[in-house]
Amino acid sequence: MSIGKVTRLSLLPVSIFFCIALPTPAYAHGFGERYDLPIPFGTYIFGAVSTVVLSFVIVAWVTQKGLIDKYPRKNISNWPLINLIASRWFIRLMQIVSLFAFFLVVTAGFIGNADPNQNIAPTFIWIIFWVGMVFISGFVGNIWQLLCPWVVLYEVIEFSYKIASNRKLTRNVAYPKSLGSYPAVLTFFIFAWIENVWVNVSDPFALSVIICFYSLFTLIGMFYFGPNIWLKNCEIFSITMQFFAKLAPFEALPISDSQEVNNEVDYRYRRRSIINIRVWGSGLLSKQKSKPSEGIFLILLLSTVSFDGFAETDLWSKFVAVSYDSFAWLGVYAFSGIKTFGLITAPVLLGAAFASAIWVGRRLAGVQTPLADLITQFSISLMPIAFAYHVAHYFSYLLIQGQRIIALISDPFGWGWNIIGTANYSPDISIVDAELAWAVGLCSIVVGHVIAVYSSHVIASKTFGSLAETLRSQVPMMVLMVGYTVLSLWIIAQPIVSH
Amino acid sequence: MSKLGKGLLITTALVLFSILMVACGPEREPEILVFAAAISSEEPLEKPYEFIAIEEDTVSIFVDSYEDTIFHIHGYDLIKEVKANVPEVFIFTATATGRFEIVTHSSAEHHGSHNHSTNTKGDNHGHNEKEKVVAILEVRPR
Repeated sequence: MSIGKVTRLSLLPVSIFFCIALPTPAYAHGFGERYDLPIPFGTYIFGAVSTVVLSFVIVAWVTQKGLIDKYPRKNISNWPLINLIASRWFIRLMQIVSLFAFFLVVTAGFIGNADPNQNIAPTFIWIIFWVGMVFISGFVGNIWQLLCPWVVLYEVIEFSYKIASNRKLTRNVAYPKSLGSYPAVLTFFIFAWIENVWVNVSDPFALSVIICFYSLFTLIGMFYFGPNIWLKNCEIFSITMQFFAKLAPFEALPISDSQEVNNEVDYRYRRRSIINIRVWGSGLLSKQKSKPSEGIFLILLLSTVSFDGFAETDLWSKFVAVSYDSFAWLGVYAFSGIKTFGLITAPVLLGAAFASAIWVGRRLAGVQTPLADLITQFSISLMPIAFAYHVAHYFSYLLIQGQRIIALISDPFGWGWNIIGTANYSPDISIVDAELAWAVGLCSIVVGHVIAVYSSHVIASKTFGSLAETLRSQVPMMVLMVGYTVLSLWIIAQPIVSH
Repeated sequence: MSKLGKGLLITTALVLFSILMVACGPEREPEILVFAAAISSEEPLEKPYEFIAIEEDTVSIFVDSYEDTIFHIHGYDLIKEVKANVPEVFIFTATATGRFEIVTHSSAEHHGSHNHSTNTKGDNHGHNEKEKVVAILEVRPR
């Protein structure tokens, strides 16, 4: 397949976007509602001060003790519970459940109740899957790797095709290296736009249409390039969950036929694997090469999550009021236009700040390594900040709005069923009180910052060699990270304002 | 003591001090609070009313409107149908902390696809539904 064909394939989501996204004029964000109180000013100041102090503690540690860049892990594959969970039949069972849930959600979107609160699709997609799966990936491990319904579906199709024709389905066309993960960058931006800007974000029917198109896009990609290649380069959820799973305490590594452990992730999870337990966050120290497109993907991921929170602040509302006239030519799309502008500006600003910090650090260290290589290498250190902000932003939302799923399981289509007797369950909004939400928000952001600064130092020590070069190169990086952490704290210290 | 030790000590002291500051805040007995929110014309409010309560307070919110409408307190999910110029009152104990919008739904909306009633559970409205935010109830922790 030529690059032209690949580009056309990667532009499929753009076409879908233009076909279904534009006709509805309005302004919206997310699904469900957050009731979070802003963190008190004292807590915010404490968080900011802790961030600065802990940064200096890390520097002191690095200066005196040296960096610990080992990747400690213990093989726990023989533990009985792990044996059970990692067994082929258990994984197959989970995959069947995953595929069933996938079809249930899509079907509910098409034929179920049009009210988003009565239909399982919006709650499952935005709260249980998008918010919940990121939590599981970061706190447990990459279970998306096992459950990805498109892989399961593709395997079913592949198996059926082989039975019927005795031929292999996958074409295994060589994937152009230069394309990297850029299709995923584009697709993720569209996903972020749908989540943050699109007015029909919670419309069950529209969501099911999007899922069907994205499924088709993914299946075609797997058919041409093979599942592993496609999932690794172009499937946004596999890439996102794999990034967040670098923080997780559990990892699964495939074993080759010669019993060698392969550090490359088997996205398809077909080979026999060993299960390791490791220190939380230490996965960032694993030796895996990054691509420039992955660095851009990470910057986009972090900036869009932060923008989601920033767009709920009073400052953003004031910006919308001030800039409305400039977007008035868009008519009924003016508000969507302003938010799209914000969604584009956020990654550009973060990318520029990140590149500037790397550039200054490179000058201070006096090394000649190409800037693009350094940006690629250091971008992974942004990942803990992205995860920490995701936790701070969505913790209470997941636990409060996520309870909707209890009622929806009994009545997934919103037709008045009560299959397991939970249809009348009302979410308990007192399950997360403000103090717990503040504590989780503050701790996650500060801890995320510490891990980011530490991992950045480890990367610098491997890149620059001498301790003096490492420390000099990290000054602007630390300023950026402290600044971003204080910005994240500031966002959760703002009252959520209505639109 | 090494610089590293001093740094860790200062950080630990800061953490403990802040926890104490947060934990030892002033405490008061639960109170009965009365608020009022009124809509007098079609013109949107310049700024929503802001009501502040402390967890476990008994909250009374009087609502009034120049037209027939439905008032809805999000989160607590309390709903009142209000006739034009006939005030109604919500009375409840603020058991959950957070910021909760108090909104109105126009009559055109509640005869549409959304089925509001006093027995309705959950926030029974979509994000793209037009609703007017009349007030914000902020319930702070005790």
